[in-house]
Amino acid sequence: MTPPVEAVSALVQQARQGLLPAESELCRRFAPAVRAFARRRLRSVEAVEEFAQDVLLALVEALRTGRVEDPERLGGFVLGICRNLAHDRVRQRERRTLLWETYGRALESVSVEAVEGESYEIAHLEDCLSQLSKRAREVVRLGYVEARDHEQVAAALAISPANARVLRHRTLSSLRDCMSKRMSWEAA
Amino acid sequence: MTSSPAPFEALDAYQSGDMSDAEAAGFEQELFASAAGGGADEARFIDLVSRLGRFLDGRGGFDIGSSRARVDELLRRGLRVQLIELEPGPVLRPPAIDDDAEIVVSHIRQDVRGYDSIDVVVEKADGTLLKTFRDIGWDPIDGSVYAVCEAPLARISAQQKHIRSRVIATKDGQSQTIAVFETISP
Repeated sequence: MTPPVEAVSALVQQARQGLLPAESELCRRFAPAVRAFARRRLRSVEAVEEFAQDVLLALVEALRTGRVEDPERLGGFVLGICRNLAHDRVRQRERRTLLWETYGRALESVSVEAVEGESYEIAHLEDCLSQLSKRAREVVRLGYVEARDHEQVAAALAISPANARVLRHRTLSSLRDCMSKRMSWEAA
Repeated sequence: MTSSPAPFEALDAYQSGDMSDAEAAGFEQELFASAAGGGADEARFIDLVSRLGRFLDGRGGFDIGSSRARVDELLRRGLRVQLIELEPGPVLRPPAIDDDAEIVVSHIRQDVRGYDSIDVVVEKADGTLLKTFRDIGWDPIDGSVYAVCEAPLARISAQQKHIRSRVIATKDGQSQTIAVFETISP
């Protein structure tokens, strides 16, 4: 049974008192939206992740120091942090992206994957990926692991950008449908 | 967002830059307001696929069927790979999965070269369909299949103690079963 979604105002109040579970829950809620914001503006996966971390750190700081005056408008508050940071840093990020593309492989061995504790979700995703066609798997890999745009995905698969876009959406829907069910090995 | 008839399309258009800045400004307001309330399901799902996909991609998770070269690469990186050799036969009896294994590779010594695609249909012993592995790959050198799997998934699948696998090969639009084997887990 899904636990009830706690009201944002209660979470803000708890976070103001420095309660870690409330801060973590708010970060979990906003992280996908912040990354979506960043993906619109930044190319590399690493740049997106660093931007998201900076936004969420600023959010936690604001919560702790009581700068969130209207909890009901927290979404707009976080969006404001995103816009301010983006304004200052887009050029710097693009410079960093270029450096990553040129020299980033040297850092791969020290990158930290924040996926500990998600072994079931990883297994579930792998189980669902194995039920997709090879082309659909490649769409996921190119589009969401390598963060390539429609034109690049289309070129890699030798299809039109319009077809790449449709294939991407259909694949995502199929994948989400699969992930919303029990794992195949457990279902029967 | 979740009520949108085309949620991924809108988010995709936003992230890719296809959406105009004016439209994106409104979209962002809605996205962040939804996130505050524990929503933004589409963004959360894409985020999950991106993060966990990156993890899997470096470990052969997108290969489904892989090659000896890929397995050697995983070993060189220091990952704890349990390589299980399975001779073709009507009944396969794989060993238990090691407690410290990170990745399990089942090497099936059956040459599947010469076809356009290979699917593997897995059923319980009573015929109940469990899943279909689609478009599996094979080793280009000998045509055998190195099935790469995260150990947690391998452990879950091994809970099905007795399964039947049908290897379906397709060439020029014609499909045929080229092998059937049972697997009995410890």
